Amino acid sequence: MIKKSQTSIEELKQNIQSKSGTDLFDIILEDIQELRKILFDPQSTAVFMTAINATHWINEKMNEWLGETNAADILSQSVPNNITSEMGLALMDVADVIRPYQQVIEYLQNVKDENFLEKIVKLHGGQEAHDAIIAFLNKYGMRCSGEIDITKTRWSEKPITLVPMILSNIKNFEHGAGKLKFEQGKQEALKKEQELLDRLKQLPDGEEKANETKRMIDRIRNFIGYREYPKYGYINRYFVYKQALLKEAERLVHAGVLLEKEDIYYLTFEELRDVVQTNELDYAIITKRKDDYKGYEKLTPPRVLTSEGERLFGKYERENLPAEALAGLAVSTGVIEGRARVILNMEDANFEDGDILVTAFTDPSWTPLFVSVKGLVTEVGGLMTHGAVIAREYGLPAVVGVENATKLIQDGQRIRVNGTEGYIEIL
Amino acid sequence: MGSLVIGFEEMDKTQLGLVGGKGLNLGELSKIEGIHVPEGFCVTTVGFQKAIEQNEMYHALLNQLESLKTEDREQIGEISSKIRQILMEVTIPVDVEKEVTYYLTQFGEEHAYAVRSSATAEDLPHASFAGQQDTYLNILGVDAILHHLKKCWASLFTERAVIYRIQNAFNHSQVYLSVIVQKMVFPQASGILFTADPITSNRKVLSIDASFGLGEALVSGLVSADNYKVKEDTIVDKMIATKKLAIYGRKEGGTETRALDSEQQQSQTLSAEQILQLARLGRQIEAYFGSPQDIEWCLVDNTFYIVQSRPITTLFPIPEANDEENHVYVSVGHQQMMTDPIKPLGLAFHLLITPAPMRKAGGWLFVDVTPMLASPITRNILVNNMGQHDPLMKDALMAIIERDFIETKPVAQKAPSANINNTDVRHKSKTIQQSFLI
Repeated sequence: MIKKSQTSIEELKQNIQSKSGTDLFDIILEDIQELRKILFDPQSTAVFMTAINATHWINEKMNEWLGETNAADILSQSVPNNITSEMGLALMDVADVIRPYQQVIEYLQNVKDENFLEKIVKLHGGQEAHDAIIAFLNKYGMRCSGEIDITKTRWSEKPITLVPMILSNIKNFEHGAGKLKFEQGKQEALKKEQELLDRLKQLPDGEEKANETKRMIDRIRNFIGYREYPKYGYINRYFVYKQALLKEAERLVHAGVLLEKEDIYYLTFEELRDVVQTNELDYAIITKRKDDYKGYEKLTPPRVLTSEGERLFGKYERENLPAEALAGLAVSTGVIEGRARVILNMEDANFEDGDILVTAFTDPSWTPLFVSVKGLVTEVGGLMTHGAVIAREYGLPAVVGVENATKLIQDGQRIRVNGTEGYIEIL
Repeated sequence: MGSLVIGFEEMDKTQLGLVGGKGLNLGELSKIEGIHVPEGFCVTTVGFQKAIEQNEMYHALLNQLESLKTEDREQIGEISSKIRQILMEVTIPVDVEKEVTYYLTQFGEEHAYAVRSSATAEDLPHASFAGQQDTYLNILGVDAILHHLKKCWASLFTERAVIYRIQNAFNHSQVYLSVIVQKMVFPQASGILFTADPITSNRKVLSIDASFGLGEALVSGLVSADNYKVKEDTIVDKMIATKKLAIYGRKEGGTETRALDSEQQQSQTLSAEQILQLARLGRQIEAYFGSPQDIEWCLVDNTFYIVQSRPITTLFPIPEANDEENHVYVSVGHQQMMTDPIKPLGLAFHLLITPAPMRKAGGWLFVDVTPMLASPITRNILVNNMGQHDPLMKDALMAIIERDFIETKPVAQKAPSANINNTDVRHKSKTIQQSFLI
């Protein structure tokens, strides 16, 4: 399935190159049908649903049989074929390449120039750094925070976004830490598996229980990694569409139809097609929508909304929480204390060893930051949303769905994250 | 009458630049049948310009101000103080004075008036200049009114206003001021009416804050107010506050703050009948403007007067539906771990891709789960699956279910058409859950 998706993206890249004007819109619409086919392929969904169901099964049965809560968390560490968690480790490898070159590190620490990749090659070790970053971008450069919005700036469009993360990796790790981390996680998972199976065998019908459990663990470990792949394929295509549309937008800027090429972000697909066809645009629409968007930035979306406009955020019904603790959903086991870093913008990420990341949301692009922190707290999310899956694979204690966490926790405060019970204490 | 001074009832929408947002709003309110607005008029931005157009000192100082940045605090203080002084000493153009006097005679010279400013910017007539809108209450006599007119003009150049404009890149010379002169009322009670619940954003719930005396006590946070909530002509919630103080107008002009006796402190400000009457007025005003409104009202001798109405801009948008039925929507952003607003092209692409019934609400996408909530079987599937992944989502859905917001339609087991329908709903429900897991 991964191969099939890759081939189909290569075909798109070939096809789209020669297209311009309204032809471009036709080919995108055509390709979206292909994307939908891949994305909602029942076979593809079945793969990760198998893993998700197995996860629920393990958590339920291990609790019932052995009194173990969230047993699937550790069993999910360092699984193969997870394109998102591999990305975090790949950026550690980029750091490994740059670490020996002090001159490059110093340059990166002060760089503000968005075209830094062109300049870096002149430094000692710069070519190596350049090549490592480009290789990373070739594989992951279509991603960025908020990537499901096609208009957001991709890492390939602004590679400087990655610099703070690379520097954090250089500072906080030694050479080869990526592989070591993966290997350690895998060993822990295998150890846990062995431990559970041994304990199960002691129970009545133990052999049978152990066999069934082993089958479920294999399902998790073989298939949960694929849970991240469909979105990767989808974001890949997004970037191909986007680059083609921006080329068209540039033409419109030259023709004096657009003031800036990014103004196309404020049109719908059909509206943009009309503009391309007629070379005419009523700018009042753009101005109005820019204003509207600024207004939206001040609003917080609710989980549930009614036709009456009522917003519902939901409440936890929890007992036995420590006083003053902030309730959340436990998605990755472990209890950790550390300094909270409240980071809303990935570019501001500058971690010290032992820090805990506190943010609004973590879509796949936030993964490279997960390797540098010891705990994770987010305002939204669930058991199977992106951040949670990756946190488990990295063995990173995590609590999600902590309402207003970025406002209630101050940057720099010491906190304790309880990823087993699902709450945060401010110390 | 010319364009220097305009009465509320003579205003039309094209005159926004002349009278400012607040002024025009009073003009619009005055036109709604059955809505009482205390009489009044605006000294327009042209009136203001006429007063300063020949004033070389003013223009020279204004030029100096244009070049300053926020950190030039000292110079800002010095220059703006000089400009304020010039404006306080400026000669009011004869035509302006004549027209002001004309209106005052019309409405009654012996009455007290409120004088307040209504700022506007050349390219941004809707820009609000929060906190810079001076209001002077209970002003008596033509001379005093003209004096406060100048005070309002000068308020354009308080240090705070100047710094605000620098921070927001407004040109000082392109910000104009209109001044509203409105007959004072001496209310037994006043307050604020939101035609939507400001906390939950529910458009069907009106929220009324009420306290005794003039509204200034409430607006300035001097007293806590009663709060009443009205839904579909029924009072659904009531919170009676302890109202220790009230501000009243004095006979000789100005206002005074008075302590209330302990019995009045605890008493409900508006009667049930008055609450419902006010709620109906609110709906009428909302219908006229076509959007939820934040309304300042006061009660004089059992008649409600409206002194201000403006759109509520902080409400969360509602997805468009093509029927009048109740709908329930579930956030896509929470499932995708991306709750930032999405730009229009981003929304468009997402809509092209998803198989789920997704709807736009401002910069966000929501899935319409109404059909799933209408069937008892799929309702359970939806709530349990969502709950397994996100208990907050489950809790929010349960809150809706518990109040029967969506009626369940029992599935007739024997009718084959119903079964097909049921399968269809199950299929849809599966589609939705899959689309969430991308």
